[in-house]
Amino acid sequence: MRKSTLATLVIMVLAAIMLPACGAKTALPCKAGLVTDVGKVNDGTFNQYAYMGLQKAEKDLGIGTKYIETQAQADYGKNIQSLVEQKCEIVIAVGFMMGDAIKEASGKYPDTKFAIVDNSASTLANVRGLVFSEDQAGYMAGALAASMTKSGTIAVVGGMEIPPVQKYVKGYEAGAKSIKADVAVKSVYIDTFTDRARGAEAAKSFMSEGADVIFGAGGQTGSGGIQAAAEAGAYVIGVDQDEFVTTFQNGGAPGADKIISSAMKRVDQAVFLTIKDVVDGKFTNGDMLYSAANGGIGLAPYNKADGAIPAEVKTKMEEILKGLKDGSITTGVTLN
Amino acid sequence: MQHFFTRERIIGLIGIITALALLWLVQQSVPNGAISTLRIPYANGKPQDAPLIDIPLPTALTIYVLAGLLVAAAVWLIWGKRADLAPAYMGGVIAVVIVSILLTAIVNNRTDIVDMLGRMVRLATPITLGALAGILCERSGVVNIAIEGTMLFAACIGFIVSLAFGNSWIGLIAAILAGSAIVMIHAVLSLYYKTDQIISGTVINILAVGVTGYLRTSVILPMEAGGNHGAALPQFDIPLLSSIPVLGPMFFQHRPITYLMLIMVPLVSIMLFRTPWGLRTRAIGEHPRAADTMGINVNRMRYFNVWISGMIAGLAGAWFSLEASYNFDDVMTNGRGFIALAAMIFGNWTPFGALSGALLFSAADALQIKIQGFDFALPSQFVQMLPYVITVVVLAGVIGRARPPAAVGKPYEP
Amino acid sequence: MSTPPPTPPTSGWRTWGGILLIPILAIFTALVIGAIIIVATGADVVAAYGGLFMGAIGSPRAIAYTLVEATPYIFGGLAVLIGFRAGLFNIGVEGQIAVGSMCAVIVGAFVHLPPGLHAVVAFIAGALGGALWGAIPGWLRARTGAHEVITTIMFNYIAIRSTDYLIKVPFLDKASSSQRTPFIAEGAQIPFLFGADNRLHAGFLIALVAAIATAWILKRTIIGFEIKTTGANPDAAHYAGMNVPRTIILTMALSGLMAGMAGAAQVLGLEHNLKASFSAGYGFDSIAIALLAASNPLGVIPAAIFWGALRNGAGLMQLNSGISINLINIVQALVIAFVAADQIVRQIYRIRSARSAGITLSRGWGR
Repeated sequence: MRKSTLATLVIMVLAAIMLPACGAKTALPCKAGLVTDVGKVNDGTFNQYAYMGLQKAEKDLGIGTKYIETQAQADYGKNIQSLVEQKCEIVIAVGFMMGDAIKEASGKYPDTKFAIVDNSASTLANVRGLVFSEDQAGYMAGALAASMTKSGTIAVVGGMEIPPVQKYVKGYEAGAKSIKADVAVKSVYIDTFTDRARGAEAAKSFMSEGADVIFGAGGQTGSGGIQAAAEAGAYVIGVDQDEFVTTFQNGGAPGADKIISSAMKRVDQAVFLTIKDVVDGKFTNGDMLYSAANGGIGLAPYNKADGAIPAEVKTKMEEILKGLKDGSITTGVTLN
Repeated sequence: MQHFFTRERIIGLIGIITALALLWLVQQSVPNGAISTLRIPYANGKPQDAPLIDIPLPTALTIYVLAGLLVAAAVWLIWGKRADLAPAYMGGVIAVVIVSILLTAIVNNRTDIVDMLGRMVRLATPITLGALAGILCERSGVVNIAIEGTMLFAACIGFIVSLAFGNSWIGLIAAILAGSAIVMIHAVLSLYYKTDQIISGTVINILAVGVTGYLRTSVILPMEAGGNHGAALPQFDIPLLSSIPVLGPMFFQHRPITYLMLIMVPLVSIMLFRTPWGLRTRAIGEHPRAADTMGINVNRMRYFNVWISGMIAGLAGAWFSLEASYNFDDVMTNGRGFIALAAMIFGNWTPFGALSGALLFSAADALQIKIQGFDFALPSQFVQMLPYVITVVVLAGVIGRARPPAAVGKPYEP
Repeated sequence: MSTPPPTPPTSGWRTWGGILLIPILAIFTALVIGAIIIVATGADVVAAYGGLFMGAIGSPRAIAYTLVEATPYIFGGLAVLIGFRAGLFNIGVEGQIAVGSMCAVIVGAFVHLPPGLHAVVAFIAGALGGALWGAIPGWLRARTGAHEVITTIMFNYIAIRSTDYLIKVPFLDKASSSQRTPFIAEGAQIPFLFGADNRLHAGFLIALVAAIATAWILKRTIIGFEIKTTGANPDAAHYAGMNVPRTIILTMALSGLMAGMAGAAQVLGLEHNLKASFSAGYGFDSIAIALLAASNPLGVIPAAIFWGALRNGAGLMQLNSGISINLINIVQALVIAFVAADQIVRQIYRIRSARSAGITLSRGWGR
């Protein structure tokens, strides 16, 4: 081995290491930490939305935040622990699979606050459960779809068959039947959240069976579905975020006039508000249910499709929203 | 023992067992007198329009007949000792299974069968192109399991460039170039450094996941947030041809990459078997030493073939991010590159064979998408499993007859 | 290019130095490139690599965690390696792990046995489950010629879908809001070595034993000899009177056995239940481990520990610098590239090319 080569390399590395270190700024103490489910903070699923909430908190509240991307389910507990040891005041776990890990951590670290997305906190003293009535969002989407269909057939492209997705799908069916009892609702679960191509093919398949309103409820798989369906002329409904803004590029994408709404589940808002509560000293334990009643879920604006939606449909949707809010309408959705 | 289980006997037995399973399926889930209707619409017909024809099939009876045919053919296969027809029979078994499941799923209902056929062709596109890339590589004696990674990388770069220029066509070219670039890592590692070819392929597969994930975070998302827009490659209906019933939706109402796939299958076939270049390619894949003495520069030729194969895999990658959707997601190729290898082996390293292998897989995929829309008793996990099970069955049934290029995987040292 | 004459085997630390030098330099080079990428994206290299280092081996507990992460990789690396030795490329470790952990959890949670014995039986069930799942592609390869690279990939998908179904329907813990099986009985747990806080469980020790056992099997037993001969030259093995198809099936079963143990150890030692949906990717990383180990069963141990360290340190790296986990993937890929193509490393550092025995992994698709 030529020693000089090695030496040069070592010096280069050291130089590279030192360079940015000089300009390193002192970080704020960690107020809020986020543990993703297996996946990345930008993977287009609830991981990403939770991360958006975290970023918003960092920016708007001027606090220090940290996050860890989980690589394996075995690491849930370890990652939560890492954030606790970084002295994060609240540790937020994304995803219903982390229920056991949060339960364990809450007993082990009674002085730290925890929150878990999509799972119940039950009675733990220092945990807040951020749960969503996806069924209500799906119900409204289904009602809107049934109001807009001419063929009497509507469809939903679901992602992996997990509780949040199942609640969307079942709520969608229930909502549709509430408008037209004889409406045919077709559904499919696709085994991944990241296969737009197959989502698109599923949507086209439904269209060939006569479906003319498609609801995409499966991350990017669903987005691929509604994108393809909108281009082919069907009305579509997005999920989680206002997909007019995301999937349809704020109206720039083809078919943007076909997205009539999105069933919104604002994980980002829930995460942000939870952190804000911690900052304001208003953190409470127990479940925080985000439903129609508190605006945690709902329908996105009609955007470019506004003109296509009859006034009586809009009125009906207002009524349903009101009914869901005051409890006079229930979706009747239960899992298992 | 081994003497008794000849190929045609095993395959025939599989066919008979399958037939029995189908009978059981019918007994279990098809009500008496049920009708399944296959609908063939006009080429540009809407779902609510009157169809060209509705074919009402008595569900149970049709499946009984199909199962009976399977048994009869199996008996003939075993009695006639027609081992040569085993692969064709296997294909038949799978086709019967797919049709039977479809009929069972749509019992007392109807489905647009042409729509499913069109989907088959579209979903077969990346698999076929990937398999063509594999064929070009392997015919020249280089194993290429890097197709998955090459596609992923090309999909990512193609999408970035397309966002940057706001033009998917430029993105398409970029994807092809990106594929040809990253595959050169494989070429250099395996041809120059003589690394095991499976390993250098694995390197690309792992590298592509990391690099594209990184690029998505640090390049694509900021670009999208910054308002870079674009649209997928547009659909072109071929005038006149596209309005032929059945054939129109199957072959002439597609987007560019699907057409390119349909063109490239015969093209590569001709190039491989009818041109001097093809002859040389096959020569260095079968017997590099002999080819060398004939004055062929073996390694240069292999570099060239790997490079071309990267371009085709790049084209396959562009299908994901620029044709089938307009976006890039982490690991969006979802294992299609490996399915492509299976299709290549199924097709005995020939382009048309690879196409039929890809169509078998995509038919199963199209089937599972189709039948989930109906109330079908099987849990979704098992329906989703179908394409993979079928691929295994196909491989087990056929590959014994498939013969890879003799020198594949071996570095050549002149 | 001329082939340098094979160097005669030398004894003592020189050999070990020679074996270790390339992987170490490969890791070093990959980390340097990783540093360049970090700098290019404007992040803080000291914070990142400091975090990676501290998170991986900065404290006794960090070391314990690294060993925990390394455990499935040791089994997985051995699984791939055993296949390599017979010229078989088992990409199906992922699926075999899934089946192994499923079998282990079924026995652990739904069968009643005396404590201790319960753990042993559950572990064996997991190992055998993996072995069976590996043996089927082996059988297909031996009897029909279906290539194991393809069939094992397909078997991965099939295994993952099946376990998904089993977890979500027949074996679901209905009392839990997460989609998972019930917890295994306490008597079925593989005990922790230094308390639950350090997470290190006896599965790690079993992994060490498995590595030694594998080395012994390959070196000293007839089946090991048959595996190696089949790997080196199947024709020769055939003419020497060996039953090559049987060896192939046995190899794949043995390989699956290791993978099954990985799953069983993970479930019985660490997680104590099995959760639905997401895959951890141990199977694919195991290929890298086998490569890093240069196909030496004992080499799998340091290779897996290194890999576990990268994975374990990634968390703190991310906390300190906000860098994506993707960077770790890139570094991992580069490490494999440099280890596999050791000549690149040799060129960079001007090391005389000692023609290593080389790892014969693939002979194409043929036989």
